[in-house]
Amino acid sequence: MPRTNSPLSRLAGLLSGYAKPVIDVDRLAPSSVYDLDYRIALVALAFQVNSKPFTPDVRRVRTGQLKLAQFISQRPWLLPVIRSWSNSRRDHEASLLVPQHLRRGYLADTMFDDVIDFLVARGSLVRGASHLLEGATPLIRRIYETALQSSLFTAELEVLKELSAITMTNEMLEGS
Amino acid sequence: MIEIEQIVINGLSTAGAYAGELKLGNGLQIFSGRNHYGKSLTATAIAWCLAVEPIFGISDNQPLCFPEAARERLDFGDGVQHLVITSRAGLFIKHTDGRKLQLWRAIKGDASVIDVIETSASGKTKSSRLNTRLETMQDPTGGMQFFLFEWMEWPREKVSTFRGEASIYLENLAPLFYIDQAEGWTNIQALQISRYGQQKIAETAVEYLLGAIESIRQRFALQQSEQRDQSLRDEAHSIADRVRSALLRFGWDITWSGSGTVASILKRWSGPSISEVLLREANVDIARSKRANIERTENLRILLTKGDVGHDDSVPAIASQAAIDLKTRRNELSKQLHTLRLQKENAQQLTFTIQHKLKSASDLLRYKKSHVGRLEVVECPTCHRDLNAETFSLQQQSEESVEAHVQALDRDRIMMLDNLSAIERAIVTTTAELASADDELRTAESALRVVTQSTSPAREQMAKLAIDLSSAERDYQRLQDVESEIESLQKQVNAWVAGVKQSTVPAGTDTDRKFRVEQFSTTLLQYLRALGHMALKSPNPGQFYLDNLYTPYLDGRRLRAIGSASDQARLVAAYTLALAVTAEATKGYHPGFVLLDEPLQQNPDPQHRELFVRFLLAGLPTATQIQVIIFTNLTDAEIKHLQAHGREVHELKGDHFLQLIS
Repeated sequence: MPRTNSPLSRLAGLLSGYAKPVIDVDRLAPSSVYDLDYRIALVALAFQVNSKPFTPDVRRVRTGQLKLAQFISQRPWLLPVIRSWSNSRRDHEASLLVPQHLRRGYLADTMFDDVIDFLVARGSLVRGASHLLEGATPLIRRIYETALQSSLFTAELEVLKELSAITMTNEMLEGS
Repeated sequence: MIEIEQIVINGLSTAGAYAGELKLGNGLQIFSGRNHYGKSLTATAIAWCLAVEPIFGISDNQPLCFPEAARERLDFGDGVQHLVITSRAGLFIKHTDGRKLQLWRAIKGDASVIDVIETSASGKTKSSRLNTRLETMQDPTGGMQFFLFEWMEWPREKVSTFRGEASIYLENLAPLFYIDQAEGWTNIQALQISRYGQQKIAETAVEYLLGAIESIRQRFALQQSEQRDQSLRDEAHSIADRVRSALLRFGWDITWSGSGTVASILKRWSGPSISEVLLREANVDIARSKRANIERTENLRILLTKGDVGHDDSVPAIASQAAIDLKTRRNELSKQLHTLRLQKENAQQLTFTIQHKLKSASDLLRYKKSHVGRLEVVECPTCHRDLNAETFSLQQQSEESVEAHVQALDRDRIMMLDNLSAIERAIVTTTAELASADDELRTAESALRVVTQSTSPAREQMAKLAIDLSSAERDYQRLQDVESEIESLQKQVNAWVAGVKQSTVPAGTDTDRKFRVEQFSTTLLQYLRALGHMALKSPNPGQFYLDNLYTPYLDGRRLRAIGSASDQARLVAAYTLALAVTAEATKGYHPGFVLLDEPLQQNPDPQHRELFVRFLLAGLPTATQIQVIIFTNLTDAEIKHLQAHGREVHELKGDHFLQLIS
């Protein structure tokens, strides 16, 4: 996005003559949550933690589970919500108390769908009916190993491990 | 300087008495013997008698540096393992001024002491027994190293540790003149001891041997000054915390910081006192409050004892209104506290969120910078055309962009931490105010009860006056307590300021270092060339120098990282010999001997052997008085060649160094 067209620059233009705004547009930076490398790394970590062997050489994971796992790994403060949601699965009254905005949040995470499309297109993942499988290129495994060796994304990995101990129902994954 | 005259090991075994001895001359002393003869046993005896065995990484006074065969059982060539009953090592030393010393230490027996026989230049002898480790450098009567440094006429110097100070011990110097076969050749000062926690000991050891004592003293003074500064900063921090928390308990939030450099804290604390800051920032004047309280108490007392109470019937209404006002205030404070607690909870959650995002963004930046496992070129596996991420509405951010995000998050984190800290301070002050309001409310309710139970307006007034007087007296006592607490804190601040003003800035120079190091560097380069270091073979190899740690560098690269594998041994030998020869020239504190145990075993290829023999013939300066002791295994041809050129080669005959005494 060109800096000169940023909304803050336009605001600065409107205010000129009436106020003396000091706006350093160079200091504005997009959140790294929207970076492709970061999101692929999260998918790789979530895949390795949650996937199970499908054939001796190939692992797979439920698409909904992967989506929820990578979503929560970026937002550890939602872990208690997921836990209480999971605990309420046999208690219909309690399930009414689970915040609905969590479901809306992760279902509306369209960037995840774009990242998966991209990984499928480059052959790193293969799309099944309700699952995602490892592709021919070993990108997912390589990123996971790099993260472990270099102690990268340790906070996310910790959340993923904690999350994997929580039971996920089909209802929680919106039937996927 | 000294030279070693004799090395002895003797004792008693089940086969009888046994012994082995080696006599040494001055200058270059080469001992050639077959493997398993006991050459390293002899070399170890030198370290053992000098009590520097900690360089081998073993516990104090443990003879584990000797092979088990020498400690437990011996084979005198008859194929029978004879048990060792007693065993000891002896080292005979001669000083250049004619004094002599014998050091005897048990290998099997009590190794914690060493028997010393001193012989003066005139021939008088004196025997003593010294502790090898216990207070070895500190005990002037029984410390082995204290004695040895005195006898050698070496200064006892101090170095900083992480918690205080320690001496430079002989075992810190030994790795620079004693090159052990097993580990000594792996690096310069490979046997240097790190577990004593002495700071910068490797470079200090080099400076000591070169005689740059002023430099060592200056470094020590600076390190001590830095440690003192750190301790003063810690103390200031602790005092400031005490001041702030003590005042917060009364609901007063003032700026009293213990952060920054010692100079900045000193400037700050030498200015307004705690009471003055309290008045300026919280509008609290204890002295004025006390004066007002005394006046009020006195007036109440006069009114109660001598005054005319009259017939005012508004007292119950006043007491009731006071209780109502206090209740309202209490409720407001309670609500305020509740809001603050909610704010704290939200601020904590937000801080956690920011910290998590910051960690993620920092990891992402590291990930992008490492270029490991990342997508560089992406192509379709079927058609092999480049896949553009933007086709999928995706973006790869640049390192600069992520870095800017990290900085922005860090600013948010700092702001939130400040915010959190302010909320926490507000909670403490509001809690204190609430406690005070509670106390006042209890008093007001009690007053209201008494007043309403009184039977006449006059009694009502009397009761109210009595309660007010009691309350005023309590307030006075509270003010006294606060004042004395502030006084006590101010005393701590003043003591800190006085302590800083008394501490002196270290003065000194390190002018004795530069020319010594230059000379050392020149000699080292000469020896490296003479020993045939591969990196220095070309006519213009580049700029050679020693860095601040006295590590040799060639054209900006560590010399250790250049050259062939066998150059490691050449580097260690050249470094050790150059240091000894330079120390002799600069009147440093070097013992005067260098021991090289098995230099040829490090690389037995013919070229290395030839280079080494050539070095022994032409490389070492003949004018030096340094005794160079080499334990090795030479071929007959090499021995003859060296002997033909006047080099002293001792051929070690027989099966083993230790023999039964018939």
